Amino acid sequence: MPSFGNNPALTLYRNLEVEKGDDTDVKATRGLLARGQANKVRKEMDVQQPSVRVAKHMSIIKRKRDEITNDRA
Amino acid sequence: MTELNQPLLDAPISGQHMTSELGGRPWQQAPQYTTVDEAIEYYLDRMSSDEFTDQLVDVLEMDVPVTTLANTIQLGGVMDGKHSVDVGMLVMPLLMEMIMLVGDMADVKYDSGMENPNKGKTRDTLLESVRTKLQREIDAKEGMLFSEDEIDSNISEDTEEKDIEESEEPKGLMARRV
Repeated sequence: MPSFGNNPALTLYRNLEVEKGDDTDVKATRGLLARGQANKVRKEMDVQQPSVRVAKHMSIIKRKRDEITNDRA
Repeated sequence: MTELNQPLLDAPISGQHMTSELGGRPWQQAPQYTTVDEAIEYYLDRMSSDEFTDQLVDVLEMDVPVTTLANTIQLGGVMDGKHSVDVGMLVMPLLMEMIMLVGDMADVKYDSGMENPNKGKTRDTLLESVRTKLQREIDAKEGMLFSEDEIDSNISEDTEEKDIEESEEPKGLMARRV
């Protein structure tokens, strides 16, 4: 993979694109009668991994970006 | 901008980094934010300020790649003792995404830094390999007077002539008849 000099940003970005996996819009389960997210689901999502956490944040921002570019188009 | 002809008199002297006391610099202290979440929160707060956004848009308009900017920002965080290098590496893709978001919001045409700048250009290695190949061919042609085919045909002609000479019957009065 090309690194274009000593800057690791590009490689890290591409690695995290893989880490992100399927981009699904997670609905917030709030409310009195809403079921809490089970620990099992959390484990499956691997949220404890810092890279996965960053990837999730990234996907939210990316979705926002897509919204902006689509609105403009 | 720094003139390249001018001597850099304010550059650090070799070994200057060892002149201060150990722990006297922010990056030699324990980082302020130890987890990725804390670092993300810190950067999101910082990057959402108007002052930062305006400056960022100016820099993006100057065609500075997003990758370079993200790396510089996270290195600044390490230097200020905000987080460790590891956390900085983890956070860097998010910084890139944030910078691109700011750029998109301001409708700036920015350079993401993800395209290969050498794309479409002829590689130096390819040029060198073609040059070497040509040089070898020229050397081979100069060093050889005849090609192998020519040598083979010459040899076969010689042997045929000899055969003809041998098969001819001796002529003359005193010649022996076989």
